Amino acid sequence: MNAKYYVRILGSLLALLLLLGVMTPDAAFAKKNRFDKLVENAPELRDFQIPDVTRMEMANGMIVYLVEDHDLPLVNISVMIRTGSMYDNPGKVGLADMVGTVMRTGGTSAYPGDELDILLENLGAGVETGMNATSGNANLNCLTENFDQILPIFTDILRRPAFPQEKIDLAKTQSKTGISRRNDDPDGIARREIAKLYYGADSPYVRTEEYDTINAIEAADLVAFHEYYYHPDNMIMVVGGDFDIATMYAKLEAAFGDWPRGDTFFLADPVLEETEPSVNYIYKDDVNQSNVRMGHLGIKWDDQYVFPLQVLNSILGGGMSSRLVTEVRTKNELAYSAYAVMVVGNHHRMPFVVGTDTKSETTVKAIEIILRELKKVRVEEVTSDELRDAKSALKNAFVFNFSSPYTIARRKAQYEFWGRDTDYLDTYLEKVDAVTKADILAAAQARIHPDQMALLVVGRQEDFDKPLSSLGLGEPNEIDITIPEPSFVEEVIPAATEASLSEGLSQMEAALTAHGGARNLGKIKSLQIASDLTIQETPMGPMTFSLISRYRDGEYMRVDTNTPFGSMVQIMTPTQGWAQSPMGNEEMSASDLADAWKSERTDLLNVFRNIATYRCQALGIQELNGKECDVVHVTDDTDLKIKVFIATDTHRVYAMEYKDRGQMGPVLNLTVIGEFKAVSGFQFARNKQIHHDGTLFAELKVSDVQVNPQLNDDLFTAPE
Amino acid sequence: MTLFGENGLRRILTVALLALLVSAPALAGYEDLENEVKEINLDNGLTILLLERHDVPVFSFWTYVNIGGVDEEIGKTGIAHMFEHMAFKGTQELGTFNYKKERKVLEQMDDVYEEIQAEQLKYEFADRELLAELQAEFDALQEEADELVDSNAFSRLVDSVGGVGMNAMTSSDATQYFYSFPSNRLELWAALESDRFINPVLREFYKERNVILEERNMRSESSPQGRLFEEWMCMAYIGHPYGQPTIGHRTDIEAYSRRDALEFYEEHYGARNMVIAVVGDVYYDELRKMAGKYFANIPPGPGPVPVRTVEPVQLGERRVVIEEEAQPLMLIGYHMPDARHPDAAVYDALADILGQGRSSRLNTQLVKNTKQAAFAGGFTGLPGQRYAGLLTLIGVPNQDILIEDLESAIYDVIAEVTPRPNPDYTPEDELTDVTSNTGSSRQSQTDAGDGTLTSGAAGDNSPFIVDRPITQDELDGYKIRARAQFIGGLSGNGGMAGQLCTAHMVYGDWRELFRQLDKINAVTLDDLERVAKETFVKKNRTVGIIATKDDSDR
Repeated sequence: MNAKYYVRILGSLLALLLLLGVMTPDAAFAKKNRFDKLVENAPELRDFQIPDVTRMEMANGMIVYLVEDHDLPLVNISVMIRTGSMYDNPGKVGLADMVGTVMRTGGTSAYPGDELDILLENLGAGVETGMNATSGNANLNCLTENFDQILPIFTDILRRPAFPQEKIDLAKTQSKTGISRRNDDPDGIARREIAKLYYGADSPYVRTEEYDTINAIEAADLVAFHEYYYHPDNMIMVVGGDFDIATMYAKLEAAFGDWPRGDTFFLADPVLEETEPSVNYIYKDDVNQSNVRMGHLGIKWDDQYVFPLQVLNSILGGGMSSRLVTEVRTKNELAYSAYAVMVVGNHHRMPFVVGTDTKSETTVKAIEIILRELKKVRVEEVTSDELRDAKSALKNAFVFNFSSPYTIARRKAQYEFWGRDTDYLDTYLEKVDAVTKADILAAAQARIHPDQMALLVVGRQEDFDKPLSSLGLGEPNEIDITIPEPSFVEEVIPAATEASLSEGLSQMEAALTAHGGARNLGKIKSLQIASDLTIQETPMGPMTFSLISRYRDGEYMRVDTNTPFGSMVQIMTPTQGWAQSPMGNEEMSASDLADAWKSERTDLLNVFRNIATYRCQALGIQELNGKECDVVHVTDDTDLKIKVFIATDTHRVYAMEYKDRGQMGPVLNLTVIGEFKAVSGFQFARNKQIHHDGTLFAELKVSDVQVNPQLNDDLFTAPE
Repeated sequence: MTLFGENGLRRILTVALLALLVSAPALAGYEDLENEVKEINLDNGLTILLLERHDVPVFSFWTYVNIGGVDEEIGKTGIAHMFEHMAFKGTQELGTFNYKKERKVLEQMDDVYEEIQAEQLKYEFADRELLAELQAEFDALQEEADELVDSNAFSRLVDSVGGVGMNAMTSSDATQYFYSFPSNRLELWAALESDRFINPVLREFYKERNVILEERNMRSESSPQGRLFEEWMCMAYIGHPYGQPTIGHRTDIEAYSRRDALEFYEEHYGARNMVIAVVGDVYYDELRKMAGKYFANIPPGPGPVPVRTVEPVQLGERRVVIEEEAQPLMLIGYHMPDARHPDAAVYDALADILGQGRSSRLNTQLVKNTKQAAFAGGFTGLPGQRYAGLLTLIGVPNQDILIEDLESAIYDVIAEVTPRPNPDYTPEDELTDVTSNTGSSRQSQTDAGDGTLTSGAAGDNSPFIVDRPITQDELDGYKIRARAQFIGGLSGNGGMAGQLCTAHMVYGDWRELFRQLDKINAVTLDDLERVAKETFVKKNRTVGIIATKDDSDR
């Protein structure tokens, strides 16, 4: 690269530009002041040495860019890896990101992540890994004096990450927390949802992780992902800092040279579909401002209009003096920020992004002004002053591309990584200078389509100045951003046959007999059970509550609970329910009451009572906790589904399994029951162990069972 | 214009997360940098600092004005930030088509606005008809003024000659202006930057007020975190103006006038309250010439006028819980001294060891071990450094973790490093048996101690014990890290300029920047215990919580 060449071009272009500036009629409008004179009389930018960047390629295909910079005793490395979340399986969105995270947090078997945290931080050094939609990355920074200690760590992390289960679990917890928080902030909602509108919600470039996709990820997936994509011939490394290139390269070759090639097969890039024109709206109650976003798919670096569009960016909406800022902010005082930028894609076409945040009451007004400005650049040429200033800004700021040797090396590496023209900067100044008003108009007409945009407003519709439909872009479509609950993974039950149904029924009947028989069951009209319930995982550790549960006629129910915070009572009748707690009394809503009664159907006594009306399908013999059981799948015409495990030796029920509601959404409840004791001829379990998704959630120890106690009506009336 | 002006929560979170993720590199020989910094002292009281770096023909500058939200009076909060916005609106020479005419119209507008305001402040007794008339008059003048304005002339000029990174920020402590230029623009820069503070014209003032209201909507009112931050900060200070929101209370923004801003400028701005640093391809002689030609004309103005109020000692825990349609989050602030206090470095060390980086106590315990937190960290520097600030902890619970459980878990982590009374302590004179069987005191602490330890590990016969004291390894690690981070911050031109300015204004001498590491290196384990014991007490804290709104719990 020839620095003198650039500077000479810069100087002569500048001279030409000033000449033009003086002659253009628009420029005569503002009187010249002393600042203009200083602009004119500025000395030429002095010459400077652009540092040499060396490109090397190892036998295994690893490409390394090296640049020396001895100002500071530092070494920096950044690696770009050809991979990305775009390659995630749609059912496991979040996998690639998790690879990027756990490579570092998990470390390797030689350098476990937690040990690295201490080791690196105590040296003031950094090793980080990460993932984007279209690439992966790894970075190192340290003092030169520590480099030989840090390089083996960095190498090991890239080549042999351990992906320990514990750190995968931690990453999953954090991902799920992220999902639960993603609708907290209007700006975050707008950013996520407009991207889906630009590309389509299912596009691999913008998909979002969900509880289900995170839950589906397993350790083996991370290992496989890394093995598939992380190979020396899939990455480009940039090394800059205080070293001698030959010595550094020898070290890198010793570290990475024996890493075999991968010859990864890359799936074809997703086909991009043009943005669907639409007006969209997301309701957010707790805001006084609307987040307005709009745009459509735009350009990639090889677009024929890339230079005119970059000049247009700074005229239309890319800076403090752009038209959009001037119109929306400065003149109409509608917003703090307003922008319209054609983003230049490296890997694929990026969007033309337009946005502003304005108070609810001026939402439509601000959109109208923006639309007006977008339309204007398609029909009118920009002014000579605008063209001059914009080109001048790009050319004069050109020198900042060379602000550090590492920046220069990284840019070269990036161009190769993305397959971009490596001479982009060599011809940059000429190409910027060649842009004309007509070029810009043609580019705007070809690439900016205000009538083809997706538009999104996040805000409070009732406060808008006018309905969004008044924009004439169609009826607004309300986007539901409710976070999908994790779905319950249902076991596939084989289809019932006549034989399996009759076998199941006889197994259930045998169980009923073993528990005391239908006659004794029928005699039970009311019940009072005293028990202690220990919930395992509370924030304060396991906690025990004592309960007294009362049931009458299968229609009335009352549970008194003693807690360390005071007593609670829950009462249910066929038509009403109440909860009484130290926080006060509350009547249950009809739907809560229905839900509560519905969940009573899984009570064993209730199951036995309804055997005749249920379908009981035998699923065969299965071992549970070492106990051999007949398994019966009990269903009815509603959504009732219970797996009943009946011990083959005693014929008593050993466990029941069904979908339940946990604190966090659906869980698989497995209740193991035991320690039977007969009361009035019927066997009652004295111990129940309740598991949620395979983990012990609670234990119930029954201390006293009374059959047919006197239970007066006043027990089942509304609490005072 | 503020990119990160209001010390908003988003900024803190970002800074905290960045600190977690990025360990800045170090450079040896930074000591030489101190000798390379040149100082120009002008008669008007202005100091200009220069660090020459000639690799690339560019330079960055930083103008630090020692005036911020803390200098505002009640009823006019946000006026420092407003002036910052006005400093981009041009001067008598820039941004106008006819200044003489414009000035007249602006003054007429000021007069009418005063009448409007006087009437408005009668509230329900205001004469609506009169107000409408005045408003019409005002609007007509506004239109007239608009005709004379060359909007955004300042930024257009800076952009067009290659200025990059132009921005400014206002905090409780200061207002800072900065950008970078190719080095052949030195004189233009000197002319522009001095003119900005010699002949500012507060044009488009009332329009910009609305822009600031939108900025306020964005940062504070439409963001749950922003709302919490403001509540929490206002509550942490009952006397000192540090509690005031830098962007200003809504009604103050709606009410302050152009004359208020001018008055504020005249009362506070001036060479004696400013320092400028230039880093990059600029030669000392050249800069001296520019300083004499341009910056010497900035009026001296008043010197720094310190706030008289000292925040009263807090008497009990303060707590605010705001219910939001958002996931929970918590801020905990403990009062701590200002940056010039001898213990300032001890607080920095304590906050870092507890709350910065992957290996910090809070991250290790709450993010990695118990998995209760998605983020748990701590830092110093809020709301500023000039006066006594807050050692701030942030807790973001993981999904399905109750905020109150994370809160007590945070206190547990802090309590582990904080001396507490030893329940088994027997005063020396009551000890009859000389041969104590309690074993030796904390090895790690006595190594570095100076023999004045008052606390020990459980089992010691000390009046105070610490359950899991900060170890010498942790403190040493911090010292190395601090050096690396400190030096890393000096490497970029803009960052270096900013640090020089800040040190000069906060400590009274930019050289103090290079003394910070000495102060950090002097921190002992005893210091950490002493400060933890003084600071981490319930009545010294202010807790702000976002609780998820529960509709069933009205």
